[in-house]
Amino acid sequence: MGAAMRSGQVYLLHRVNPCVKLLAAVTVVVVLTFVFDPLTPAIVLLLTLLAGRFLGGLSFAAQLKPMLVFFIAGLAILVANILFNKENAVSPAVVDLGFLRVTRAALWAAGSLWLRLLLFALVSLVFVKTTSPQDFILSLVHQLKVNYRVAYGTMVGYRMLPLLVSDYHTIRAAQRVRGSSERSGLLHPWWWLRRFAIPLLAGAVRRASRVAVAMDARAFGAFPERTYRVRMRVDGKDLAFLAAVLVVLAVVVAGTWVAGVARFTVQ
Amino acid sequence: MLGPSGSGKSTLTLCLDGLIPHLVEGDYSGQVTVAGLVVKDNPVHVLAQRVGLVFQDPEAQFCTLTVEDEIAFGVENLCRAKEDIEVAIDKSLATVGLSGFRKRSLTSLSGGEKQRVALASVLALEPQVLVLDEPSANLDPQGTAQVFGLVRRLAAERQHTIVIIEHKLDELIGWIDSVLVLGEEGRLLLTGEKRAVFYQQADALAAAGVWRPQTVELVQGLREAGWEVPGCPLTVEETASALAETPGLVDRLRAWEREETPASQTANQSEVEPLLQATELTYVYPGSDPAAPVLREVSLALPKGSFLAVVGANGAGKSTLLSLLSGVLRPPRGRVFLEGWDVATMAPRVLTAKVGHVFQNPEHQFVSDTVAGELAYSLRPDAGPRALARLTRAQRGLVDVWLERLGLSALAEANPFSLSHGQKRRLSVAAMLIRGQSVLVLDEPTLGQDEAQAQLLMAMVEEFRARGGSVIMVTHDMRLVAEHADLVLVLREGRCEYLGGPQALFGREDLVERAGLAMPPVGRVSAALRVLANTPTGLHTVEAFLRAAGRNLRGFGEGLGDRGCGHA
Repeated sequence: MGAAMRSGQVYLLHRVNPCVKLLAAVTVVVVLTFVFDPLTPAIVLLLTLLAGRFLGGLSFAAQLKPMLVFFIAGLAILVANILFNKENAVSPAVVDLGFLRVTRAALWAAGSLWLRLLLFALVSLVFVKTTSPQDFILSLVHQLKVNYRVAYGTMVGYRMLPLLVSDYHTIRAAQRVRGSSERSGLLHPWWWLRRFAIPLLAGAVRRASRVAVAMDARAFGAFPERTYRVRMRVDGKDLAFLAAVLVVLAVVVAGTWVAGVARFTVQ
Repeated sequence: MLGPSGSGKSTLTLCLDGLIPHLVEGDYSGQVTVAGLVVKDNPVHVLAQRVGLVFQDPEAQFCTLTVEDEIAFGVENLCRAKEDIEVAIDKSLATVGLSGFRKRSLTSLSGGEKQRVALASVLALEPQVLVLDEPSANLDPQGTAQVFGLVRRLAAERQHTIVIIEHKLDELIGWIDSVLVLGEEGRLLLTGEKRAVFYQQADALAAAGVWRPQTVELVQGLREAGWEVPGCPLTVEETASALAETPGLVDRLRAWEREETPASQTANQSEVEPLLQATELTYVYPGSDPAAPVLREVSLALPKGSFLAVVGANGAGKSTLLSLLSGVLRPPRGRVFLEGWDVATMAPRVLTAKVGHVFQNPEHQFVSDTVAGELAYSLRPDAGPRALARLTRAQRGLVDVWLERLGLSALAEANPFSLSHGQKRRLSVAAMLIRGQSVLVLDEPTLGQDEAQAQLLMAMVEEFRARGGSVIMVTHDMRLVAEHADLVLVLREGRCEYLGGPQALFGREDLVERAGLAMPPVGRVSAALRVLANTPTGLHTVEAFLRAAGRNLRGFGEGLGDRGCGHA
């Protein structure tokens, strides 16, 4: 039994073994790290978006909205390159305002960096949104032979994150009622930080030790091995998925290289 | 298992399943034997198949994300085969009555459902002993009813030995066989058959600050007033029949109804200018769906010196209402008024000087390294960490008075985090009261507190009220509502279902049930007695019942408290 039967998902990306999917994602990221033109990452970005939509069932909006911050970062990258790219002096200008020359080299470098940034963010997003944390942890244990004690520790940590966030909001409100003014926060920054950190940590430590006791009370860690109701496996579908990703990636990179666009060095 | 906070109840439960001494360090002597196994000589995973532990906080005992994975967790740890795991999941879910919940995510469950899943996850290991450490402490009345209903069913099946720790056990009293009471410093105070403990050792229990069944308090109060209540009743039904058989009591109650009822219902405070007022308050959290507000058109008026209890199931909007009334959340304009001023337009500094808001977890509100510093900060919030040094002589005196009142003079320099749970709670209330606010808002202040601590806390609140302060309190404890509140607001899915006196609320059983509340135990005795003997309703507290009964002038029974019961 694999992820398919667990979640009842019809979309392929949800059914692929998490470790295989991770390998595919990491391969895309590593390969594109060494491709320094804007077109190749743009094509892969588009393909990832389509894969997320039609193989992962994520709407375009759901994929693009969380990346808003990376779109904004693109502007900063562009401005920095227009002002500071070291090839600006020798590169032909696309727009010349006299006091400001926007060079081809600057646009090229900014585009390449920005599109790769977007791509890495989108690949991570699609991975996270199509992977159940529980399946991922199990897959780490079953495929990558991660110690199950470590893996379950990670899962408990994952469970606690939302609780920490809600604790933080409660503490902020609770402290505001004590009549604390922002001014005293500016005067005593260390004291101010401690007021949030100590209750937050005290709560987290207490909760963590309670979970540990509850897990031990159910024989956690009794034996070097344990059985699993669901065993994550790698089957033909997973290998076919990985092969398809590699082939598509190779075709895109080879294509842009043959077309003379792809560059594998910064210059 | 009963005992004041810090008497070692939880430590004892850890000794039962071997976490002590195998995983928790410390000095260990003596011997514990559970289901024929000497705990010290058997590893935890062997003991885990004999003893199942369920803890207080459902959030802090799960380690997976779905119901089926959580139940499988323990069975997987024991290296059982896959088929056996599937069977164990189905079987234990059926036992706790959650068969359709297998695929559900744990976060989608209510508190009561979570605790039933926690119970199912230990039942999957097929233990002979179930140990429940305050399983209802974090639940609303509905969740408590679910969990207690399940415990009653398990107890009735007699398949398991059940050990339960709770501060209040009125709902389970009929299913308990014996009682063990731990006293201060972890010593065994009492142990024995339940009727013997509750009726013959009543003074020792009271002295130790341990809860007693409301029914016992009622019966003993009546006996002290000269009524010859037969037997040693514990459950609501037993108590109602015993009262029906008490010579002269039924007639007295009927007579009381004819004399008293019209007078007690004319208490009317509508003439007084309200201190705090909300008009058709609707609230949506920023960024949430405007079509699904947390509060819908809630109106209330709080007269000076009154005590408003806000009750309802978890998620009904109680804490949100509290935060809007105290200005922790900014209410919409023109909806909430304090002394005639719109709370939405008041500066936070002005508002916090008038309204004190005590949060559920006292630690969240601590700002100082010392107990005295906590109180000092309330008087000089502008001085930040140096508040204590900047106090005037008069303010310093005020801090000392409060330390004395809290019984914390010796601990003035201690860190607030090192106090006991009850001390922390009272310190957080005191840190609000010391500023002389006119309204005190409390969010479930008696949660997880033992009887003595809860009484000390309520005494503080009542004293504040006696000096003219108004109190708004969210609570799940209907006994507190019946004993202290003069106004009750029932919230259900964000709407006000009821606003009025507690007497009238507990008189409407349909409403109490619909809003997910529970009748206070004495109220149920009064209702059961009405069915038996047509006595008046509306006697929801021991005090009200005793007042209605008055003294029995006909017979002066002697030694009635020591009737020969409990040696069965």
